[in-house]
Amino acid sequence: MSETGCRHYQSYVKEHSYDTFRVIDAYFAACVNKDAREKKAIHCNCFECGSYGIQMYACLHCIYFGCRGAHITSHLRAKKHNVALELSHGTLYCYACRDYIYDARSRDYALINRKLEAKDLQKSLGWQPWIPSAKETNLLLANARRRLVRPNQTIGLRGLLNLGSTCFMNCIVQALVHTPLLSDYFMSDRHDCGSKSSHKCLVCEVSRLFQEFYAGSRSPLSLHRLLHLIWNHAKHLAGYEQQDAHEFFIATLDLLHRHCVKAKSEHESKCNSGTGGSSSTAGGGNSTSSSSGSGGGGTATHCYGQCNCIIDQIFTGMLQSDVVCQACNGVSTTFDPFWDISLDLGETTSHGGVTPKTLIDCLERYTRAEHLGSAEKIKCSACKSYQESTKQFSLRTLPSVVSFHLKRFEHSALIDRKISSFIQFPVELDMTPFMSEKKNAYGDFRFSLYAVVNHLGTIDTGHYTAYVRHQKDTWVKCDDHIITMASLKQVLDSEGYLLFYHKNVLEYE
Amino acid sequence: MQPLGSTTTTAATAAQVPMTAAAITSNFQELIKEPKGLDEAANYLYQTLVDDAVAGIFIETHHLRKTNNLTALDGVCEENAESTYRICEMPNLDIFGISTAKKPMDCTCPNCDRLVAAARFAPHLEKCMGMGRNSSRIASRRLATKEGTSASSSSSSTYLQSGNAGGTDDEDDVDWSSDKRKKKSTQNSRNNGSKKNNGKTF
Repeated sequence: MSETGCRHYQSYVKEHSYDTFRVIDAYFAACVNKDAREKKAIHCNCFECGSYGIQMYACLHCIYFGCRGAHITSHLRAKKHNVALELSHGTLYCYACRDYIYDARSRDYALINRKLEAKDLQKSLGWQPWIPSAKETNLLLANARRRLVRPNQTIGLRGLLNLGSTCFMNCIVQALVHTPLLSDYFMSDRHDCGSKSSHKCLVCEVSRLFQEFYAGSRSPLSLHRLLHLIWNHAKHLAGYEQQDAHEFFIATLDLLHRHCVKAKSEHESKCNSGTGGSSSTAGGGNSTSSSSGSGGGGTATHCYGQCNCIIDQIFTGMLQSDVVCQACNGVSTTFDPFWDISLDLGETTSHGGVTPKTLIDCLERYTRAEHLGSAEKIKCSACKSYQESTKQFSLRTLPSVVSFHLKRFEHSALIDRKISSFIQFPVELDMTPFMSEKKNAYGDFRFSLYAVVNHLGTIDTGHYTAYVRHQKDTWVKCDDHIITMASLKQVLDSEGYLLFYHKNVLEYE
Repeated sequence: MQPLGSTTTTAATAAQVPMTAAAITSNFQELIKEPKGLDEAANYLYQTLVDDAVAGIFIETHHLRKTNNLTALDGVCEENAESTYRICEMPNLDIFGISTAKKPMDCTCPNCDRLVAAARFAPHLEKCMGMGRNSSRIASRRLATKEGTSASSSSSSTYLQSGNAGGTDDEDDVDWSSDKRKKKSTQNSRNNGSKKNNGKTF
């Protein structure tokens, strides 16, 4: 049963409908557009004392604004009006009950207004607390035991057995399990598996893994079922041989993404007429492919960056590529989705930069304008001829998790080698300088390091280990089944092959 | 919102200066001109934001209490969690306080349902699924085994050997459960097992 305010509010709604609430909320609580903001700034002052202070209340029976406390209550008492709206958080107040009241339908309308506001200001939706349904409340009460995750406790940590050169998999699994948004998703049981045979579903297996990590067991975990599923679904990964952790990471994201899409479509076709499920299916976000859809290949469902699955929500960013014609200065811009950023480490050849020593150096090199010489002329749509041009990458949007792949393995016609040079990487990373639009007022592009995968050894043979952040300022080293404490210095002094950064300030849709 | 007339009379008592957006802006400019005013404005703004945030927390908590969710979300903490799960920091021990030495462990192969030494699971699975670098060779051999109506034990064992391209026979044996005694006793059924497996996957 959903919340219905109080009996006074119910009778108010019966008489006046929700219209007044919706308008007042839209204009004076949410401020859905410029007009509303102006109206609020000009008119929303206390009718009693003239103050423009915060926590104003609007009477829902007549046109009246009043400060919290005596001013609004004296109006409500005098006029025998019951319901007022608190304008800074959009909470309903009933004078007859002398209490704040909560009504589910009003909340739905308010949410629409908040979305309009966010859209108008081009900022993210404000954080909303989780409101458990009556069923969820009862479940929580019936299962009252809670396990807390603390920095000085092992909950959330688990060693992983090496199944025969499977350290590349163990490292990636450790990094994924310690991705806060991913663990939030799986620990809140959001994966609704469409397929009947859930033992064949890779996402279900990952979901089980998360449960295992938090189950409180001390013995190492064996990922044999995961390996079996991955080999079954990705034939190119199959086979007992040393593999590249980066390749495995991308392939795993791809598999999980495809499973999510499949599970979703199966689920939707199954309950086509029923209710639309949870809020996660809210219309696919703003996935309007703005201009030239560069990578037009593949069907809609298999083209990542277009879907709303948890993998895309967390890992997909958008790369912008600007090609500037040297003849007419015309710019042609394309966008490409990405799951990670691969960075060159070798000596710069063409345009005389220095060999990168830090992650920032690598990123500067990555986003530097590159002159495409006479051998690489590109057809300019304005000049209608082939011209020399410059090409520059920038980041249009960033995912919540940015992962960097330091290209330590160099394969060329002449030689295959590993570049073991030290690349300094920071704990806190601000990506603002590398964005396409640096002056987005509401953009916050600060990230924190949370996992580092290292490769020890040569290009032919070696071993992978990972450092993961257990809790803030608590790091552990994962070497297959051995989990030990690590200092931040150890993490930062390590060579670094894959670096995982998590966004500090999350944006909501 | 009908009773307009009655409200305007109430509103008339308030000191209502007709404001425009431009007036607000110029008021604001006036206010922040002198350092003292700017200071006051900044303090007021800060106080307002804190106040607003506190009110937000109050409302959220109030809502949780009203819906009985305050107790529901809190729940009861696990007993002895502090001592049971405390991270251990000792040489040669992992965070669980367990020796870092490798212990043999087994897992059940999801493909053939047999017990396999965990450390040899990947090479086992490669052969078991007929995959990897030699996949086509193994697969074709398997098909041949299947087609050759009498899936003789000899053909099964050739498949096993060839699947282990660079390895020796010995390595093959390690595949099966880390329990050595069991390994010997199941030596016979091993070939039968892989025969059965052939029938299952293809």
